[in-house]
Parts: sequence; C-alpha cells; structure tokens
Amino acid sequence: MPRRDRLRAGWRVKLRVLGALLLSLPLVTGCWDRLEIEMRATVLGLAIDLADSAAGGETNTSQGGSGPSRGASDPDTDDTRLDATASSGIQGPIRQHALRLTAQIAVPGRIPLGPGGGGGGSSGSSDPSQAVWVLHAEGLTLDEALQNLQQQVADRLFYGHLRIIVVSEALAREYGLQKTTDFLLRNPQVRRTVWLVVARANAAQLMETAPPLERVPALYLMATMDHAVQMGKFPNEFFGIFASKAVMKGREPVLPYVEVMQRDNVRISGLALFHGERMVATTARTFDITSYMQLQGVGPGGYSIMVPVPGQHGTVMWQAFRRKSKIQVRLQDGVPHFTVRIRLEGNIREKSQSGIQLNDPRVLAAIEQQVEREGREGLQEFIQRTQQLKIDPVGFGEYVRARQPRYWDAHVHTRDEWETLYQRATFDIQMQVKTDRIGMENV
Amino acid sequence: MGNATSRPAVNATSRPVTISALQFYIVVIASTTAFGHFVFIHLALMKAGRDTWVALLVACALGGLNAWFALWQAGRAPGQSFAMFVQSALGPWLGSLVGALYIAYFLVVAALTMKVLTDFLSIMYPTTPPGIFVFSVLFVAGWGCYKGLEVITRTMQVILPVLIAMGVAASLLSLKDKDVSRLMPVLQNGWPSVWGAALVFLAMFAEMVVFLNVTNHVNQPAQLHRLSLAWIGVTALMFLGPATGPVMMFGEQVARTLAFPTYSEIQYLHIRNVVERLDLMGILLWGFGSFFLVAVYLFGASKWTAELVGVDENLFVLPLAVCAGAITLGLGQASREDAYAFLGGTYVYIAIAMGIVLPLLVSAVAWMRKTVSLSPVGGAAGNGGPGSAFGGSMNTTGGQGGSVGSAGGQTQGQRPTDQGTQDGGQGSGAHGPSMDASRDSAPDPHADATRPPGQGPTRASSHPSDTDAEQRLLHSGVKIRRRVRAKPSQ
Repeated sequence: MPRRDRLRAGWRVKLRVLGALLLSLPLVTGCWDRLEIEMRATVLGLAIDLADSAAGGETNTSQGGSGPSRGASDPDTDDTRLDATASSGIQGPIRQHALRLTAQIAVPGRIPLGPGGGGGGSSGSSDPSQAVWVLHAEGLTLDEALQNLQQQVADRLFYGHLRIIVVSEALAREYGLQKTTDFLLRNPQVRRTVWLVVARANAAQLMETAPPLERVPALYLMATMDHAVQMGKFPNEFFGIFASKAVMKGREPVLPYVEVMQRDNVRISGLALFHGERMVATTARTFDITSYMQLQGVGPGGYSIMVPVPGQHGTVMWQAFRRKSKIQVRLQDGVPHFTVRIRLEGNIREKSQSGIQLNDPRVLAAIEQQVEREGREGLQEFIQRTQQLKIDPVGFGEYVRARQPRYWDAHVHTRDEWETLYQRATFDIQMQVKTDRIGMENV
Repeated sequence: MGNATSRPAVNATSRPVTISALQFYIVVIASTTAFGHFVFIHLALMKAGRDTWVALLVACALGGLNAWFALWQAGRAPGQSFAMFVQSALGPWLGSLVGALYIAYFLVVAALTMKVLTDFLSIMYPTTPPGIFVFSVLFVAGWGCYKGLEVITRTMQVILPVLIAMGVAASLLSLKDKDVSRLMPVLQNGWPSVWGAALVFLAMFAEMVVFLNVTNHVNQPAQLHRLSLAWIGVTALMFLGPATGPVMMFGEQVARTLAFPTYSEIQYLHIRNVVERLDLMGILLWGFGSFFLVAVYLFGASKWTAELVGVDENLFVLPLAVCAGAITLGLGQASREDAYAFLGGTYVYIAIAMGIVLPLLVSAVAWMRKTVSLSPVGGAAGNGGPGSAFGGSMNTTGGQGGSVGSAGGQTQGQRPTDQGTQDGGQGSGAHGPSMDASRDSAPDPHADATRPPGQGPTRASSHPSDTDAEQRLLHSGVKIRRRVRAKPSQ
C-alpha cells in the first residue's frame, strides 16, 4: 500500500475513534436531574392542622435544634419561625379556611445510620430534635402551604422519603381531606404507601414528639403503624387505599386514629370513619379495630380477648393469630342480606385461676364457644353502629355491586343511596373459633 | 434459537440476515408488550374500565386472525417483504405512494412513542430537556438499525427475558393488594365501551404491520402463521395482568383516572421495608419497550425507503432518525392529555386503517389482478402480470417486481428461481419481460450484470435442487443488484 494511502487509513481510524469518543460523551455525564443529598430538604413527615385551631393549641412552633448551621435553637429567638409566620401567615376572614403545615425535615449528616449511639456530627445524634428540623407554614391548600414552606428552606423540598402525614381531626371533620389528598396524589415523589393518619387533637404535636426509641420522630410514627400491621393490630390502610376507597360507591374509607397520650407517647386509639373524604366518626373502642379486621379477613390476628370460662371461676386471655372471612350476599325481602363467615385461630396466653384445666378438651371447647359468642356480639355492635352512622367501612356495598349488579342498578346509584339502604341490610354472622396452643404449660 | 447470521456490509456473495420464526416473535413481543402496557392499557381502561380484559380478549381474537392471515400470506411468498408485496400488487406509482404513506406512518409511530416516553420520563426527571431523551433513544435505536436486524434481534433476545421476569415479579408481588371482586360485574355497561377498548387494542395489533417487513428475513416463513396462535395466546396472557391489575388494586374509578395505571401499580410494590420504591422497574420496562418499538419502526421505515429507492437501507437510517426526532420535538408542544386524546381517538382509526384495512385491500387487489391474469379471457395470462405478487400461490411465473419475481415463479413450497430473484425490482409487468410458463427456466438477460464477480453465467440458471442456503443467497441478489445500480463504480 502506498504511503499516502496508509496515512489516509490511519487518519480514518483516528477520526472514527474520535467520533466514537465524542458520541459517548453524553453517556458519561451522569443524571441531568441529579440532586445531591445535602442539596435537598428531605421531608420525612407532614402534619396538617387548621390554621386557627393550630395556632391556639400550639405549644412549641419549632424544634429549631438543627445545629448551628440552621440558626438559633431557642424557640423564643428563632428568626426562621418569625420570618415564616410573617411571610406565609394568612390574615383576615379567609384564615379560617387556611391550613397550617408542620414539616419534619431530615438534617443531612445527623440522621443516624444504625442503632448505635450518637455523638453528633456525621455519625448521627442521639437527640431526636437534632436529627430533624421542624418548620411551619400556612396556606389555603396543601400545595400553597408547601410553597410557603419552600420559601423558608434553601434546598429544594423532596417528598420521596415522606413516610407519614398526620391530619388533625378538626380539619378532617370540617373540611375533609380533599384539599390534602389531591396534591399528594398528583405529586410523583409521594409514595402511595405513605401512612395517612388522623390525630385526635393537634396534628403538629405528633411532629414534635421525641420518642426515645427512635431518633427520627417521623420514623417512629411510621414504625408504630408498620409494627401494628405486622402484629395484626391494625389493617394496612395506607394513603393509596384511602384514596381508592374514597371514590367507591359501596365502601367508605377509614384511617388510623391516633393521639399523643403523654409527651412522646403515641397511641392508636381506633379508626377514623369517613364519608367520602370527610371524617364523620371514630370507632367507639379500640376493640372495634379487630371487628373491622375480622370482617375484612385481614391477617394475621393480633388482638386478645379476656373471656370468662363457662362453668368455672376465672378468665383466660385468648389471642387470635389467624383470621379468615367470607361474605356472601343475597336479597331477602327486597334488601341485601349478608352472611358473614369468620374463622379465627388463636392461642390461650394466660389464665387467671389455677383451677382452670386447659388440658381438658371440654374446657377448651367451652372457651372457644365463649370467644365465639363475644366475638359475634362485638361484630354485631360494630355493624349496628356503622348502620346508625350510615357509613359502610367494610364495603358490604361493594359485594352488592359486584354480586347483585341488577339490584344495584335498580336501587342504588349513588353513595348516599347505598348508605340509606345499608341501614336496612340484615346480617347473619357465623363464627368458628379454634384454639391451637395453650402455651408451655399443659394445665 | 440463535441462528441469526450476520451480513457483511458490502459483499456481493454474502447472505441476508436470517432469523428464526421464534426470533421473529421475540422481536414482536419485545416491541409491543412493554409499550402496550404503558400506553394502550391506559387508553383501554379509560374506555372500558373493569371490562378492559374482555376488550382485550375480543381484540386478541380479531388481531390474531389478522396476524394469522398476514403471516400466512407472508409464508406463501418467502423472501418477499410487505414493501415488495405492495409494490408488486399496486404497481410502481401507486405502490410508491402507499409506500411513502407507510414510511410516514412508521415515523409518526416512532415519534409518538418517543413523545409518550419523554412525557413519562419528564415526570421523573423534570429538568432534563425532552430532547435529551429523544436523542438518547434515537441514537441507540438508530445504531441498532444501522447494524441491522441481527443486532436488534439479539438485543431483544437478551433483554426480553429480563423484562418478562420483572413483569411477572410485579404481578406476583402485587397479588396481595388485589381484590378480584372489583372486576365484577362483567359487562355492566354493555358492549359499546368494550368495543371502544377493543379497537384500542386492535390498533396495537394493527401496528404490527411493521413486522411484515421483517418476514422475508425469517428462514422458515411458512411456520410464522402456525406460531401466530401461540403468540396471540402469550400476548393475551401478558396483557391480562396489566389489564386487570390496576382495577383490582385501585378500583375502577381510580384506575380510569390514573395517568400511568400500571406504573402506579408498580409503585405499590413493597416487601416489608426492605424492597420498596420499585419505580425503577417501570422506568426500565417502558424505557426498553419504547427503545425496541422505535428501533423496529425506524428499521421498517429505512427498509421500505431502501426498497422504494433501490439503495442500501443504511443510507436512510440517519435522515429518518432525524425526521422522527424532529416530529417528536414538534409534538413537544402538545400536552400529555392531547397526545392521549389523539392516541385514544383518531390514531386508533389511523392505525387500523394502516395496519389492517390497507394490507387487506392490497391483498384483495393483488388477488383480483392475479385472477384476471390467470383468466383465459383476461388476456393477461402469462404476461408477467402483477398477480405474481402472490408469489407461491401462483403458477404464473416470473412476475414483475424483483421481489415479485423472487416468489412469483413458484408454487408454494418451491424455491424461487434465480432468474426470478434477479429479475426483481424491474418495475411493472409492462416493463418486465413477458412471462409465461416457459419463462420459469429461461435465463435472465440482466442476470450477468447483477452477478457477483467470479460467478459464471450458469449461476443464473440455478437448479431447483439448490439448497436452502443457496436460495437465501439468491434472495440477496436483489440487494446486490441494487448496490451495483447505486454505485456503478463498484
């Protein structure tokens, strides 16, 4: 090959290599939307109150303990809080419709990476108030409040790790959750599996708890709910499920109803019952949660019941560990009649008198009958109460819609019509109880 | 599976890329499934709600029938792509016009695919300019097209199992959140809404017209229509989960209103607190699915253009990719709602017209012309009429177009004659040599010009006893001759 051709061939190869390298440049530049973790304000929890009621009940508007870089830690001299109130506070008659938002924002470098001790700095801090920054803002809608909150925070608010949203009972009862849920459903960062709970009093109070078991308060709240689900003490009714049920004609959504018992002590008190997106009631007692879960067939079982042993003095503590339910519907005298079959399996955890012979099958059968009786009564009371309230949290209406579509089309067109009909529905509850274990003692 | 053989860039004696029937269906499934889950499920859910699965089954039956017929026809004309078939059936002018329509249609589908993908990705990556997504997809898809069918096929072969595994995992993991009773009652709103959704799915099946341009690369095209029944079954299974999942999970009302129902379904997935936030799975599924679809349509457009113009298809990859990108960026002004309104409305009819109605019309025209040419009173018998477009189904010989000729001189199951192949691309029967039964074995006067150097003239009169490999080699003669024509210096 002549020298000139060799040179040309060499240049051609070099040009090709150069072209390939240039074309590969866009592939090595990383993500256009990258946002370093220390450049984003990661919101872990949100609490939403009515602006008026929250301002009155407010005890501590800001943790402010975010470390020296975040300003003063003394609430009385917290400039950030004062500025926030000035910039986002809503005045005039419209204020009664405004929301007051409390956000718990993770402080980069102070979130503990493990169960170990703190010590501050990058390894985390044992003081919960230093792991998060609690801020407030107001707005007529959730988005407006968040925009106002953004005005106070240098970094972009990021909701990808939002784990819990607390709404005050006053807001849920007075305005419903429409103003809250729409933004959350539209925002792609917000998980639908986030917990949405109703606080008995001031929602912001839950954002300011500092439980010693967990250094990030929002994560403690989330863990409370998650562990309750795992232990069978609460249904997995997260935000997405609420949003789905809120638009069903034959079913009403429920949310966890929580309260702060003491400072830093959170209790799941029951279920907040909704009509659409507006809260109308709560369950009368904690045991209603298990009635709801039994009717739904939600496993595992977790609640205990103390039952007297028939024919003997004393009681036993019986705890369900497995639930199954089956609901059938037929029409009887022109109204839906539901047959509910529930099977419970459980263990005896404790007896109050040594004379109770748990190794006697007849005693166990008597205990099972007693559990069955009391369980059935509990279910009937729960259903009757929901009928009185004209709300159907279990979703019996969905069974009618699915299994009796002609009847549904003829008699039911709206949610309200179903709830009127629900009051006249009749129920046949059949319960089957089986005791599996009585523990390490055989007596 | 992997019997795809590569074709060197410029080698007159090389073989065309051939793929197996299974590989063909891998390309079809990979290109349609993920994107179908992404877009068409949403459109169908908006129309039929909880009855979407019924609409899917209806569309599968109709789409399967259409695919069976199209592939049966392709199997009868081995070595003939849909572009060749159209050209031969409709003649050079009308055929070119219809070809141009299809090229535009393929580009629009590729652009719409990228538009929907960029709208979706822009939610996750709000500050990234849409042009970056478009460039990335086009760059990779264009490179795949440039490298040829083998690269596209092998890429899909590698990635499809991963996509299927992810889809199956998503379905299984979401089972606990699903309530079957939400699918009931069936057909409560009657058939009209079901038909509306069925048309949407039918449009998706109609889009598969692009794959008819690949059938001539299948080494055993006669198997295609037989496997189409299995394919439609697999497709139905792969779409049943996404068609029912959002309804079972969110309820009918919410499922209808979700912008990306199957993606929202994936967002629900979590295993304890360990595996969460599987959004990435959705992005991967639809990113790859869109890439496959764009690559196949770009390949189809460039191949058809090459058939029309008569030069190497690689020449058109870059210009067509630029065209598709420009259309996509032009669509950037439209909102996602506009795009979905178009896709769920006008586009459905366009797709059905281009993917089902027009191919059937072309077949009907070809059949009529063949009938006339065979008729003793038609006066066209043995005249190299366009009926030869039916290839193996006819006993007339030769044919007018190159591809026509390749299949025209044979009965079903026979191999095309060298002469017939070499005669390809000659235009209408009026320009082609007159043909009669004896034309079958007559040497082609043009054959020498197209014959690769080193092969003697006897190569042109290849024998019916040629091996399959030889037959494929002969089929490559179409391209060889075109190369010669495009680059006379070579």
